[in-house]
Order: sequence, then structure tokens, then C-alpha cells
Amino acid sequence: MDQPVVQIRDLRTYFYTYEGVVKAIEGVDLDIMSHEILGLVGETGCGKSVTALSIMRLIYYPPGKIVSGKILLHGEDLVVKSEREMSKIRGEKMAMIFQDPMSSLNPVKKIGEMMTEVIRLHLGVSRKEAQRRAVASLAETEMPDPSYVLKQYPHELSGGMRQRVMIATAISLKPELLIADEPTTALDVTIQAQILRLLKKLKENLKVAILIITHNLGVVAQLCDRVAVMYAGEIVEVGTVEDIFERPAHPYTLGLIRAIPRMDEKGDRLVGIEGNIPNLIDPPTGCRFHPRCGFFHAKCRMEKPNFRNLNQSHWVACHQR
Amino acid sequence: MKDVILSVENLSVRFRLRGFFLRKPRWIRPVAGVSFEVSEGKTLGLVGESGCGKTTLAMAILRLEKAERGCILFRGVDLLALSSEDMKRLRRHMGVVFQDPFSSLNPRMMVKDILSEPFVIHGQGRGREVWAKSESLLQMVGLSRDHLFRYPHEFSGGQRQRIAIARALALHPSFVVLDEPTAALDVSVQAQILNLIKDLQEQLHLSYLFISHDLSVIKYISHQVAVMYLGKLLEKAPTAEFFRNPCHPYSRALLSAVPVPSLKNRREPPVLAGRVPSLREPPFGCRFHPRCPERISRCGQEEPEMMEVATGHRVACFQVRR
Repeated sequence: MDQPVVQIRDLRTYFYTYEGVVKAIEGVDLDIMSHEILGLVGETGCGKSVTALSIMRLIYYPPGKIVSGKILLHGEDLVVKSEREMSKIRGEKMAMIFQDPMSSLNPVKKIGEMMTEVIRLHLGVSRKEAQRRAVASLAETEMPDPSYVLKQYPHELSGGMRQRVMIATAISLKPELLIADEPTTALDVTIQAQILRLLKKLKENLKVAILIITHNLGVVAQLCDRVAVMYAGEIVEVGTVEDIFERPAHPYTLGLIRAIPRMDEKGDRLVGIEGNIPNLIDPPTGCRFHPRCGFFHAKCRMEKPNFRNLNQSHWVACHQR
Repeated sequence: MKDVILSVENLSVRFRLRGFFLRKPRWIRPVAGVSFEVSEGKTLGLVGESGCGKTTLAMAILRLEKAERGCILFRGVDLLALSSEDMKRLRRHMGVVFQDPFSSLNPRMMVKDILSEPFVIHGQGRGREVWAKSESLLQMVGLSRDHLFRYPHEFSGGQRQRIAIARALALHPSFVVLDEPTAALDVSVQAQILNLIKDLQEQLHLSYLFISHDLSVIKYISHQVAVMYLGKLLEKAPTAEFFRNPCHPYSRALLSAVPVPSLKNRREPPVLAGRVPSLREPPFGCRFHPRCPERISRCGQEEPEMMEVATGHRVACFQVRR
């Protein structure tokens, strides 16, 4: 049985703004198992990225703050770690890659300088050894001619290459958890396919757990082992990909699946989800999805639904199920 | 043909690259000899990866970008031969919706001003009388009159795109260019906007040039599909035919690269190696041949012509037989 690498328990992350307190994450529970790719899906502003940043402890006050909850990495609570301990854990135990590789690479540093800096800082190895490791991890990402790439600047690389550099840097310290925040959103489909295949390969070769954040259900279906669906700061459904795509239980999950134009099926009309994402300063009472839900009744407005399991792997937070 | 509203023939656009002092000027051609037609009341879906020239092509059609050579016939009138005065008059019949609704609406203008500007520019009334028109435009796209006195920042991405669509339709155009209108939107909102675009086409008998990089969106919205790569069209076909029988190796690679949201098709797609070459040195012969899994020596020597493989289905590839 796979062990959980990270266990999130009742996580709450708020942002304190002039307009009020934005409850970006409100009681999230999530396990990330070793040797799995977990997809976290949801629409803009639902708290996917904030969840990832909270795990990395990259939420800074002001304005953001982890108000309560636990993030356990192999049983150790990250929320109470000092910044110094965290900077050791980041990189060595877990690493993150972002959506836009251009804005996360330093434009005035060569790829080699950036990659060896990370390796030397954490492992204290010689310049030469760091160089060797950088080449090895670039090769792991199927980068053609890695030692040449080390001498290049980010602007000389294409989008797909830059994302490979990001991934290579992230895996250079052999972390146990890799968080990928929309890693292919800025890329073309043919390049996206290359990166997705690479992530799958890395999971096998490096035995790294991957948390992938995306709004693209196609990516989830093709890549992930398990899926968590997030809406307005809460996780509404968790299950294996089979659970989510073959037996979606939450009305929001169902709505998301029906809203995608399909290439593999004939459809005359798409079904959008009416309304907009709620304001998280003053979120709806009860179930946060109820104002947009087609199955809603009085109880949904009054009471927040608890998580219930439909089978061993499939959990849903909905009164109707 | 009688029902063709827009016909583009052998259109090219070139840009000058600024080099160092005294260096020979260099040119790139983001659009290099493109021909296609848009039928009355139908949608042509133009699909391709970033940098393939989709947007430049659309801008050249609207004459917002200068064409190098070629011919653009809009209802029989050659747009490239028109004076800028005449072009301005004709632009009433053409609308455009851009990708990013956050930068295509002036943040300092209220919605009423955004919507009445087309009327004012084209001398079709001013002041209060155009408000009524603006109001009905808003209703048409699913917003209400309360929204007239608000600024763009007060709206969500989907609502802004609705405003941009309303503006494009203000002067009752017959032809609308939609340049990735849903790329910046979430799926649930994308579905609403795509439905709106489809409904408006039926109500108003609009013809669309719909640009997208997303093949599933193209399949949903278009009647005809054109695949563009590095400034050239590689394949043109009716939508159903295209998805049933994609002929060009690039079209097939694009189709198999799209992650399908279903477990039935969970598979390891053959991944297209490499990346799109630079427009500065486009490959000789077929522009796709360096990445093509089915290339033969001829592909690097001469350029394939568009060839008809079935009714209305044209492909530029040596390997495809009639």
C-alpha cells in the first residue's frame, strides 16, 4: 500500500485585504500518496494555487496567512516550521514548478548559474559536481544537448524548453513531492503532450509524488491517478480518475465535465454552469455551490455538507448523495 | 460561388526585422500565400499553434495589418484595392472580438460609451439615441441595462467577453472575426460564450472566422476547418470530414496531442518531436517536413500543392493520395 507523503488536515488560508477577509481555503483535507499523480482541478480563483502555495509555505503575511490546520510531511507539521527549516525542506523534500516558465526564470542569469546555485546551496558540493548534477537532471527531462543549454539564457529557449528547465531544477535535489501549477497552460498542444509524457515518466523513474494543478480535465484524464475537485476554497469531491469521470457524484464535477467541448463525441450544445464564482469575502452559506446548483434544496443553504465516502476511494461533500 | 462572403487568395504578409546598424534588412513572412473562403452564414475554424500566423492573417483581412500581396474579396470587393476612406466605410460590415477581454475594453470608458462608440465613429447617431441601441445590444448578449453605467473592471471575464461581442455586433456586421474569444475563460464560462456565439450566428445570419488553438472548440463551433502551420495552410475540410478523416500528418499529430477528458481514450499518443521552427528560416519544401514522421526526400525539395482528396477536402502533402 502506498504511504501518504503529505496529509493536509482542515487547512484554512485567509487573505486580509481592505475589502475584508478573503477565505481562500476553508477546511481542506487532502492526502497525497507516494507514487501517484494527484490532480487538483477547479476554475479560476477556487483556491488551487493557494493550496499549493500553502503546502510550500509560500503564503506570506501580509496579506496571506495559514489560519489553522496541519500540513504533515511524513507526519511532521510544516505549518509550525521556521522559515529556516522550510527553506531546507523546499527543494530537498518538495519542489514546485509554475505556469509561466519565463516569469519564473531569472532573465539575466544563465540556466547553468541558476541550476548550480540551487544544487550548491542545498548540497554544498563543488561547482563541478553541481554542473554534473545539473546536466544529469536536464538529461532526465529529455533535453537535447544539456551541457549547451547550461550556457544559455532563458530568452534563448522556447516555452517547452523553459518548462523542462523548470522541471529539471525542481527534480535536481530528488524531492519526494513535485507540485506542478498549471505546467502546460502556457504551451501549445503538441508541446503540452511532450511535457505530460515527461511528467508520467518522471513519476515512474524517480518515484516522486506529483500534485498537478490544472483546469483542464483532459490533462487530468490522461495523466492523473486520483483527482480532487475544488470549488470556492473547498474540496467537493475526491476519487480515482475512474470515480470522477465514470461516476461523478458532485453536481459541480458533473457540470464541469458537461461544459467541455468534446472532440471524441458528438454534441450539439454545451451545458455551461449558470452564474459566477462566488465572492470569497462573503461566501454563500451552507454548501458554497448551492446558488449555482441544479439539485439544490433548502438544506443546502442551511448546512454545510460533510464528506461522505461512496466507496473506498471516492468521497463527496453533497447533501444529495 | 454565390454564397461565399469572403474569399482570400494567395495572401502574404511580411514583417521587417530590425537588425544591427548597416545589416541587411531581413524579412519574415508570418502569412505566406494563404487561400480560403468563408461561406455566408457559416463558420470557418482556423486552427494552429502559437506563432503560426493565425492572428496576423485575421488582422490582414481586416486591413489592420498591411498585406504584401494577394487578394481579399469581401462580397466581391477587393479590400486591398480600397482607399482607407472606403475601407473605413466597409469595416462597418466586419466585426472583431479579441482574445483577452481584459485588454480589449478601455478601462476608463463606461459600458455605454464602449457600445456607442461604433455608432459615433460611423456617424449613426449620438447621445441618448444610441443608448437605446446599446441597451438592446446588451440584452442580445445576455446582460441587462443596469450594466450600461459600469466600468469594465466591475465585470468578470465572461461578462467582459459578452460586452466585446456586443460591441462587435453594434453595426450589424455580416462577418465577424473571433480571435480566440474563449482562450482566457474558464470552461463553465467558455460553454456559455460558445453557445452565445452560436445562437447569434443563427439569429443574425453571421459569418465567422473563428481562430483557436483548441481543436475541441473548433469542432464544436465550425462548419469548415483550416489548419495552419508556419504561415501556410496545410489542410482544409468540412468539420465532420476533417475529424473523421484527417489527412495531413500535422493535423493527425495535433488531433492526437489533445488530451481527451475521458478514460476510454486514455492512451500514449505518438508525441510529435521538436518544436515549430523559426519564421526567420522556414524549412525549404514542405514547412512541416523536419518534424514529420512520414516525410520522404521529396518533402525537403519542393513544396506540396493543395490537392483535393474528397469534396471540399484539400490537403498539401505528397503522401496523400486522391
